[in-house]
Amino acid sequence: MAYNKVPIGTSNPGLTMILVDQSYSMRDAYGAGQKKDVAAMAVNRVIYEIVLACQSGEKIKDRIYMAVIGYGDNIDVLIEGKISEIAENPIDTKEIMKKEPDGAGGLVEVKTIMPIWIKPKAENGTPMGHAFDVAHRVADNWIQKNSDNFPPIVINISDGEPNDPDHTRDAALRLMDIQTNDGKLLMLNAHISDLNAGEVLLPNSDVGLHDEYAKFLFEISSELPQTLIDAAINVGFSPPENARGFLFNAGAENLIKLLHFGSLGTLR
Amino acid sequence: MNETESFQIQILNTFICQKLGEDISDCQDSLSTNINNNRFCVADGVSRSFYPAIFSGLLTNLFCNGDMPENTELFSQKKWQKWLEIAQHEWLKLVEEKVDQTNKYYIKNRFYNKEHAGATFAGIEFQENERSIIFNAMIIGDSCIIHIDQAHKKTNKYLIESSKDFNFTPNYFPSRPVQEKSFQPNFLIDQPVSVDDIIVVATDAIAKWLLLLIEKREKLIFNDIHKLTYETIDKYRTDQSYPLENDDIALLVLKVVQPKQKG
Repeated sequence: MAYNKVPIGTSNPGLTMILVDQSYSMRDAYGAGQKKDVAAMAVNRVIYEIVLACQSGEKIKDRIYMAVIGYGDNIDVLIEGKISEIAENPIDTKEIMKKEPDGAGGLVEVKTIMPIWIKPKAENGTPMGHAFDVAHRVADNWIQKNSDNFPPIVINISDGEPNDPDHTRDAALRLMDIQTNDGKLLMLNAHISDLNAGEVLLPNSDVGLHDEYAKFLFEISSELPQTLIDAAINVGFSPPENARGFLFNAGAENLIKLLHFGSLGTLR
Repeated sequence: MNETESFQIQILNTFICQKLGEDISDCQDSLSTNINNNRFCVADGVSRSFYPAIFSGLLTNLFCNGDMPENTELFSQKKWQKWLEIAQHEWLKLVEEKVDQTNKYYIKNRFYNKEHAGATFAGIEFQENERSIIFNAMIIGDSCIIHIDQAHKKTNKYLIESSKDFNFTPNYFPSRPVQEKSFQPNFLIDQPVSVDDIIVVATDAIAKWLLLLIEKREKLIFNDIHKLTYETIDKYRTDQSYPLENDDIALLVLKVVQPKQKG
């Protein structure tokens, strides 16, 4: 498969989907807050960075279609559409003061308006398989109109095992079987944990994985094409040859890095 | 141009276009020409930078048509900077107006954050120098000048010499003073040219493609370069052998000619 049709202009847009675990366990401590807070913050931040990457003058070019699907007590399609429409419709904004380098070795406070599309949520179980089913529908609809484009990228953020492992495996493999003429859908998985149990970052084999669930996530993670390998290196990862888009026991910093390269890596 | 001058610059083609599937208003490249002072230039706005089209337009227009303050010499290592400062000042003024008029968070944030535009640039000026014709040029980044010496069937390429040497992080002029990045352009001074020579001034995508053609099948560039049109560009973008990258394009094809005799 080629993976050559990176969305340089608006004539061949890409599709990026982020699946966010919103089950009860996302209330666990993680980084400086709870997992649900960090996940929502990271997703909001990456959407904003995609908006900036697609900005041209005052316009947002539709180089990307996006969907964000939350799964917990429900399967919620939180966002779906062209990036230009998403950019104009955050559910809220928050004004903050950020410290930025002043170019002379010091820091200066800069006013920033932070858009919010996703609010933290953590309820009930982990219906990951059903979220994959919904992602399949979204990807399938998109491919009907964009069959020659770079294939969809799905980034799944989760902290625990799914409700129904068998259905989840089937749904994931069905989703990964979707393809455009440029390649198969790319699935990236970020398993997040604050247990300091040893992070596994973009492995190319499951040999060192002792946990059955880790092996399962490795199985449903795609081998990264060169475009995403380069992007992963750019954010500080050191992927081995044939690396897969998979993190296990990832801390907040590596979760953000994966979201960044997975979402922005094809946008030049 | 007065009657005693020994050459004129004939513009064989000025061509600017946007990426396939976009509007011309999305194009970040600019070009400008002035046959009275024999200055010609292109600029390529860095697409992910902040208001790059405004900046590339200011750079090209000021280069060809701007009144330069005293002590500004565009082709002097020490005296060219005033030109950039004027463009930076004008850019900030225009961007401030736009930011004041918008309520879009993604524009306001970039302005609060003091983000800048970037643009690569290639500009050339032809002169007579003791009865010979010469050109001076200023280049930064991957905008290019190709000099086709018709008499000697020789091609000189500036600054990038091979189609393999283009990358995604070229050097550029910034629209605000940036301490941590070098933005010193390269200068070509007193380069000889002859009547009938062709000079191509081009932004990266078309320059890369022309260099590839020179490397692979040189005849096309000599025969057809002045015939490029919107239709042929789209055809070349889908060419299986030598595809032209889908990017904004600014191209000038110039020919050194003898002036027409009057009367």
